[in-house]
Amino acid sequence: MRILSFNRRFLIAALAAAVAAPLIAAEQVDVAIVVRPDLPIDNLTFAELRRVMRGDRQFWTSNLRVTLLVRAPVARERDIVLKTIYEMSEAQFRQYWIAKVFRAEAAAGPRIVYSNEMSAELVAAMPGAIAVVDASQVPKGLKVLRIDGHLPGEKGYPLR
Amino acid sequence: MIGKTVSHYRILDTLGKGGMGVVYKAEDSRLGRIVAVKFVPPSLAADRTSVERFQREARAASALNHPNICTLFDIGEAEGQPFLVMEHLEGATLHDRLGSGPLSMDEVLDLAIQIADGLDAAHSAGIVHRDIKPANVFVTTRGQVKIMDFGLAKVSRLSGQASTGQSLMATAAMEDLITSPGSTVGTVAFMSPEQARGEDIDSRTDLFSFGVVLYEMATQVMPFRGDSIALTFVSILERDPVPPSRHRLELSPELERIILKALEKNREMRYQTASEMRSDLKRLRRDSDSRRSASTVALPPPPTGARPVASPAATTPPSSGVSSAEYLVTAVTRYRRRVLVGAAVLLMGILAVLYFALREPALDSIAVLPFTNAGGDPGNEYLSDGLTESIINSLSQIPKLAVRSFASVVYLKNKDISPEEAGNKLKVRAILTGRVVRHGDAYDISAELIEVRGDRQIWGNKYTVKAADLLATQEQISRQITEKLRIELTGAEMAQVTRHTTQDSEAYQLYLQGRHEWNQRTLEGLQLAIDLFQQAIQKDPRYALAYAGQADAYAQLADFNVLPAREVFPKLREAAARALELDDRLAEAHTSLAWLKFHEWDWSGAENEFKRAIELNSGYPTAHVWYGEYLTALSRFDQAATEMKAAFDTSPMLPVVNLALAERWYYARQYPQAIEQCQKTLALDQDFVPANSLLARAYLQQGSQAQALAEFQKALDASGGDTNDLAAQGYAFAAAHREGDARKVLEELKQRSQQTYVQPLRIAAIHVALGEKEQALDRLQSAFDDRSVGLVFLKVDPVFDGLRGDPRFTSLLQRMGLQ
Repeated sequence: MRILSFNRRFLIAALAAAVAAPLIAAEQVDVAIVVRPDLPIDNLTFAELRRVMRGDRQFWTSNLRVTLLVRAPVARERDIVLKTIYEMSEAQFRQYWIAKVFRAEAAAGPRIVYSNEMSAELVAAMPGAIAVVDASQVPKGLKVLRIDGHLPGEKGYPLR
Repeated sequence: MIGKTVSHYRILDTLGKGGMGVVYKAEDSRLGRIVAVKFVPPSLAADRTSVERFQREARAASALNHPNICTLFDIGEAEGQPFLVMEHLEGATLHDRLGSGPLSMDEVLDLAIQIADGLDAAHSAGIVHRDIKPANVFVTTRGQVKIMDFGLAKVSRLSGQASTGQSLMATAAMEDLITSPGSTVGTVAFMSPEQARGEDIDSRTDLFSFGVVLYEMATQVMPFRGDSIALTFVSILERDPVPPSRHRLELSPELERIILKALEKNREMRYQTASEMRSDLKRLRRDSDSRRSASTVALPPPPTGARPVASPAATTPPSSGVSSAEYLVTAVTRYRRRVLVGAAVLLMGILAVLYFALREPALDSIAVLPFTNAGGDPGNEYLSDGLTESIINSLSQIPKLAVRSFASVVYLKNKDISPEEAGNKLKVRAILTGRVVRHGDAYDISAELIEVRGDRQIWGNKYTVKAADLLATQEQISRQITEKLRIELTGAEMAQVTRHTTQDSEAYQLYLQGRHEWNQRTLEGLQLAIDLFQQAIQKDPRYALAYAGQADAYAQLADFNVLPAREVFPKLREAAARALELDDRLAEAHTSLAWLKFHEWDWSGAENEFKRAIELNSGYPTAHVWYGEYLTALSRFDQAATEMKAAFDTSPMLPVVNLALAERWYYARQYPQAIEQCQKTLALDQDFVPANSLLARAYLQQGSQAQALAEFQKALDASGGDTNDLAAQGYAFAAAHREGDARKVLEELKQRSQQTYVQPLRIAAIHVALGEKEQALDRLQSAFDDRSVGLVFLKVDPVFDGLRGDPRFTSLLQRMGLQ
């Protein structure tokens, strides 16, 4: 009985591990910063990315305005952006953008997108748009920016 | 024109021509239906002002949705020529119908009732036709009446009030006089005396014209005739019409009475409403029907001139003596006149007593339940909520009516609750329910007014409108409800009910969306509301309510500590001032300005504004709540209680109002009551985070630290890490002698202040609890410099008791005018 019991526990543990493994792996997928291929930038430092995402840098070039796309609340991509780039709580993030627009330091806050597909479509359609998407779901035709010289999945990549 | 496409209407055929333009049969290529397109005459189209007025009036008229009114689908302009698109009808005008022979009396009554019905609907919507004549009454092949050309009528500015100035129709009629002499006499012959004299006109003018039409329908003869326009005018103004029964012998005396009453030259003696006339016509038809059915079973009537045969019961029994009955009969005969007068007086007395005993009392309280967004599209929520709120605001203008605020009914949204139950819960005598469904670019709106006692429907209506007509529909619903509530209103009061501050439907919709978002009381909603109010202002820069909305949004911005209040106040002041400049009777704007003055420590100025707002709209709960807070801040707790109660009476289910009551208890240092009230508030809305926060503060002052910390944590989690809640938690840690945790919070607040605003007042509170007086006073000075919103409670806030008596603290109170 004890052997059986042990085997059963072992089997359950093994099964659980097998089921959980892909989930854990999925959770660890990095997020990618995507732009249109014609954007004349391939690499940003993390500090520069922060300036862009916080609306402190509003133009890529003199006549190409940055358009920020951020996922709606609860999405993992948003959590990573708020935690790593903004370093803000959800409430603080909203407070930040309301204040910035009120003070006329930015014309508008980030546009809200509801899926990775929507992010990708809008980036492809809007020159100057930048979005954060799940690195495993980057569609063809978009450029993934290097951050501090690293692509998603590489060691030292900061957005995960 | 035939074969051409105008906008998306393909012209198929000519239907007719007249003084008011040419009418074409056309196909709506978008909806695939046949319509009638009417172009206004070029002479009218050349005058831009007239065209704009025409379009405006047509838009209002298009809100009319009634089976006896020809529906106006669209208006447009092609090559500078305005046109109307109406439903295409099969049949003939009443003018043509009368030309083909007399109508039977049944037909007369049937058509007349339908015309009265159509006029009643239009007049209820404040629209006077001004040109009722047989040519403007269409009778379909199925016998249905459709009154036409309402699109060209002038919209009466106020229901029951006379409108002034020459109408577009009058202009067109004058044009008729000049350009087509053959038709002029006909047009003039339907005018009312007041119209002929060029005086102000109102809905009773239509009833006179309807009387003329009815006279012609019944007799085939015009009541006022003349060989020239001048003689026709003389006839209208001075001659009494020949009794119609002289032209048609079988005409019933009752129909004659109805016609002659409609043709009274003095409009005070005329029918006052179309519904009154319709009732008389319907009664006549009912009586005719019942007589007819009775005649099918009764004996044939006696020949003319025959004396009636006495019934056996009526025959006097032979008797030798004088019985008491005989004496009575003799006495009655002798004193007949006096007896009759006495009986009449007695009868009138009985009727008067019955009238006062049985007449239904006015429904003096109402709740408008949130309209259902029946289509289920969340994108239309703003519309269903907005319509609800607009109707509430309109009805709130009635001094004799208690109206539950939007916020106090919103919790019933989408709840399966009977009107009776809702009425009892909200303590009102009437309930209005409604639903909105979107079909493409049109909306189906239905509304139903129910008397709570007996669960009885007292009014209901359906409207199919386009987005551009939502304003007019809201106004129409408010007006009709007011009438059905049996409340007597002065003209000015009715004007308040139906007034709105923009003619731009898009601006109105943006405003509704803005209010919807603002009411969410979240940062996300606030962000959207600011943007939407701004868009509404861009659409209509003279839209007072949109500026008031903007001011309210800015007040929330300061209240949520999104920014230092000193940064917000100038814009808030600008928005409130602009709203008042455009409409100084707007309670919302006075309330916003009062809030600003309160937080700028202009105590007397704030009180004046609060009082003015309440005077303008005593049912506006925000004014009472904020005034109550003001009085609380000044330790005038008894007066504060009165204001809070006034807010509670109008909005018993509103969490903000309930929380305000708790706040008063808290600052009055009555913590058990504050705790109980916070719990009641949370029972109403468990997600109302400010209630958790105040509950925690009350627990803390009462010494229940564990409960306080638990509530602070709940507030922090629910708000998504709001800085105010974090700081409050820090204060609780310090007060609970968890200095390490309190310092961690202080450190995090310091970090946060690098990126977003952290109100110094909150940090001061932590320092007070840590016993660090000087740091606390430094922070209070920063709060003073920032004009921090929370400073207004400094005099009564128990959190700062540790600083009382300190010269710097006293100085601060003095500089704020609080000591």
